[in-house]
Amino acid sequence: MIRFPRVALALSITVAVAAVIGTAVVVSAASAPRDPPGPRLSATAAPGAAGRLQDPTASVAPTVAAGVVPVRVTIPAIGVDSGLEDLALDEQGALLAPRDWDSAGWYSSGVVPGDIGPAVIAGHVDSPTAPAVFARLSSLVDGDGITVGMSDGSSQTFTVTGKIESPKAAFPTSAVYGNVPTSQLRLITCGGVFNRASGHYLDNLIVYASLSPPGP
Amino acid sequence: MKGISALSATLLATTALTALLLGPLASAAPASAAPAGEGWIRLAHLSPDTKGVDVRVSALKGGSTLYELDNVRYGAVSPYTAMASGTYTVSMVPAGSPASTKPMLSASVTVTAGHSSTVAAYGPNKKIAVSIYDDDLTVPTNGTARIRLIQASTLAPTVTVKTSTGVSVASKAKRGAATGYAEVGAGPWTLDLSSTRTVRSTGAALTTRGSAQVSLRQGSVTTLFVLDTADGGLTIQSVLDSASVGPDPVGGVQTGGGYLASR
Repeated sequence: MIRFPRVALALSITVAVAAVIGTAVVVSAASAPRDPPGPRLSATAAPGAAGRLQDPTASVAPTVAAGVVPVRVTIPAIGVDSGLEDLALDEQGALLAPRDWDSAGWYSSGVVPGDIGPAVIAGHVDSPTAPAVFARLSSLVDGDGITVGMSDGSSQTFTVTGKIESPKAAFPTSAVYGNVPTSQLRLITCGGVFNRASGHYLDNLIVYASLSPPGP
Repeated sequence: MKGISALSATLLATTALTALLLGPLASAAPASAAPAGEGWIRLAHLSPDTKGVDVRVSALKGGSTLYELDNVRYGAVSPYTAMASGTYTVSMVPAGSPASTKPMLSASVTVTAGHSSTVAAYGPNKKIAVSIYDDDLTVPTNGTARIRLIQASTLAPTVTVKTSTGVSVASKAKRGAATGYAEVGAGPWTLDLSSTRTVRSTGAALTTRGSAQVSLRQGSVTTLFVLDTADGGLTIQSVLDSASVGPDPVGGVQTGGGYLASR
């Protein structure tokens, strides 16, 4: 699976002058004649006036360093402390579950927890013979904490904001996987009626969480 | 490079028009991605000759500060913060001012559940005003990303941006205007920027050209802010508006073996 480079947040690119094209007069920012006189502004001191043009700040938006991936998920409220398999899509485009009943997995072509967008972690509710890693996911309530350990030793902490149970046949794709403007997390397991003929549950349980504000 | 939708050719001079065009899609976007009743705002300082500001967001009818950012400097675009839907007062004072300071700028801002917007202090200091832009939370068509431009330069009357393959992202975008979102293929793009202004002393046309590299992840939505530099040039700041998971999984996940169902 190809991973496209993430958009660099607040990437500042000075527009460099390229070339003279046609008859246009091309002016380099560095050598620009003052358009008469460009940066002469607000002679009267309005509140907050700098009295001159300023360079934009290289604003630093929080983001996860390239190459850093999640390696562990801890949910104290339901006793989860699990490593993370990498999850991929099958040939039909469905998200594959973890191979190990007792391990959660991260959808590794998706969003890295802590980056903007919905990061996805899935785990089994049970195996044929025992409860599995996300057996108690449905017990989570708003405000519960979820910690994701990262490969660089850092961690990202999320707060549960809601949960839904939905038939897999009508999976709410856009609500779970669609665009969000903040760092969020989705935990997914099974729920509802178990269909013995297919060997699968009919529903998915999805827990929504948002990155917690930095603590004191 | 992959194709670009016809939307990119259309410059939308006002964000109201943008909202109108995106409305039907936006309303189909998942409000459930936010806790019920919440939307998001972010704050931007786009006034090149204004020093850092402290920004406060409070209930419209006054009262305590609900959200505050200190020393927001020119070019800064904050992360989004979730707010309960409703109307708020956003006010700005010079950085470090005492709490009692009369705001140099204030505006009322309405937060709508499941929607996001950018609240910007824009313009030269003498004419500084609040501009509010509606931001896109619709999911880009599979395999694509969305991009728009906010022309926040106070020097360049208009800015035109095309991809290196010749497709228009913004055509003569006016000062303070946001273009509509263009859908482009995910991946790296080179954007060519040009701006023409008249030199007052001579009447000659002066054209500035340049290029910028952006890399757009599948499912991402990005705003390019065109900003002034201290020496009178232009710069582009690329800021992520939102992102989907990327390649969308189809349907549900088979995460159970049935043990608990028989208990």
